[in-house]
Amino acid sequence: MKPVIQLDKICFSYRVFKNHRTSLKNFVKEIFKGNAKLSTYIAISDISLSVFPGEVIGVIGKNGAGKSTLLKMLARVLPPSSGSLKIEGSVAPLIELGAGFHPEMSGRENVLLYSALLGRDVKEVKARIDTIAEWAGVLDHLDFPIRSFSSGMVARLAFATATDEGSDILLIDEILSVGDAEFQGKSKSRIQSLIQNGTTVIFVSHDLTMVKELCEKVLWIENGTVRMFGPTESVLINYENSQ
Amino acid sequence: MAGILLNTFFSQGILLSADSISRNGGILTKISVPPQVFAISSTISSFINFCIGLIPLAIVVQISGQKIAITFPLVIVIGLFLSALISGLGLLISILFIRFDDTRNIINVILMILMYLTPILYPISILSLKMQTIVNLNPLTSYLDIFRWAFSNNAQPTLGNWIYMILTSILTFALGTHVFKRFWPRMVVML
Repeated sequence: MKPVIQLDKICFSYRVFKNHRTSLKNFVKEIFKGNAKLSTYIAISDISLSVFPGEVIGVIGKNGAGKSTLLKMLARVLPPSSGSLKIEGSVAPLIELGAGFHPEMSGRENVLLYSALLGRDVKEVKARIDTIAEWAGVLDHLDFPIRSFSSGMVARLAFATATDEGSDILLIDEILSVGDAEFQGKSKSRIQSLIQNGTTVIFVSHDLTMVKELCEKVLWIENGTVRMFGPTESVLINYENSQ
Repeated sequence: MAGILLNTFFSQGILLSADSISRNGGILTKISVPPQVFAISSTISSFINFCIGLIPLAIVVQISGQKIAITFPLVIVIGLFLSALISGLGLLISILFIRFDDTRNIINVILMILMYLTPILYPISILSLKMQTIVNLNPLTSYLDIFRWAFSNNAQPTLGNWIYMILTSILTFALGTHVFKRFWPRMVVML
């Protein structure tokens, strides 16, 4: 079987000015003085990974280990500095719920805007908009501006929109912790049904019980490199022992 | 008045499109969207403002006893060339906007200087010959001359003006998109 995601020795680094100046005036001054120095910051180095269709991969690690950076590269937001990254199929990034929502626009318009940003057929979404809102439980509020929504409602609507159309790959970053218990249960069962339909899921979380429940394999990242990759049980045992 | 309309389009368009990318950084770091879309759509919104601004301009021209020339549909073409120039410059400047906080103030000053170097508030003939050359080097002078000619037959642009307008607009757009494409992978982490 061909992998849907193939990472081959990808690195991600970026350059920052040594003294963290953020003004153009100072930057020009430093150039004339000759001490505008750049330093390279490495966020991810040498990660290779193959994910096959239908697999559910959990990504764990400490804060700042590079989990989110890795996920953003998979979402094609950040381009890798070196190495190759191959992704086949459509990707639904659930990196932050409500990114792409405009506060002044109504819920209805925002669903369409968000779908358009995700590269979906707006006409098709338009026909299903009521189903999406009903699942999210915001049907009564759909014509009010999004700024009048509570943060939980925004998250529910965004989640419903993003998972509405079956994508081949779902990227989830720590988002299931938002919302009330009812929404958490509901979103978990939706993800489980997507998994049953053969969606590949990359799941970043600190919630180890959730990882244990959903994932077949776990990728443990530390300081931007792979510390361990393998079946959930064995990686989690090692992870827990290391802390 | 024609000059003010054109200059507002230019400075507003540049500021909006340059700012659009850093303002929408929240979206760009979460969903994979071509960032150029934001800059170009900002330019289009300024272009629409410009088109609406043509209506009061036409009324003033009529009241002041001048005639709207038969060539007036050409102003849309000029607007489109100016849009290409604006998008190109906007994309170039947007890179600085992402990296440096104070770019906006500096760009404001530069836009002010450019405005005074365009014969908007004065006829070019009152300047010394040396200043005239400098003002003529400003691409906006060519845009303005052609605009005035097309709208109400108010100026005599030369063929050189036309060539200068077309070249600056296409080259700036090409340069802007090219440089932006090269720098974007490095800038995206700073959003």
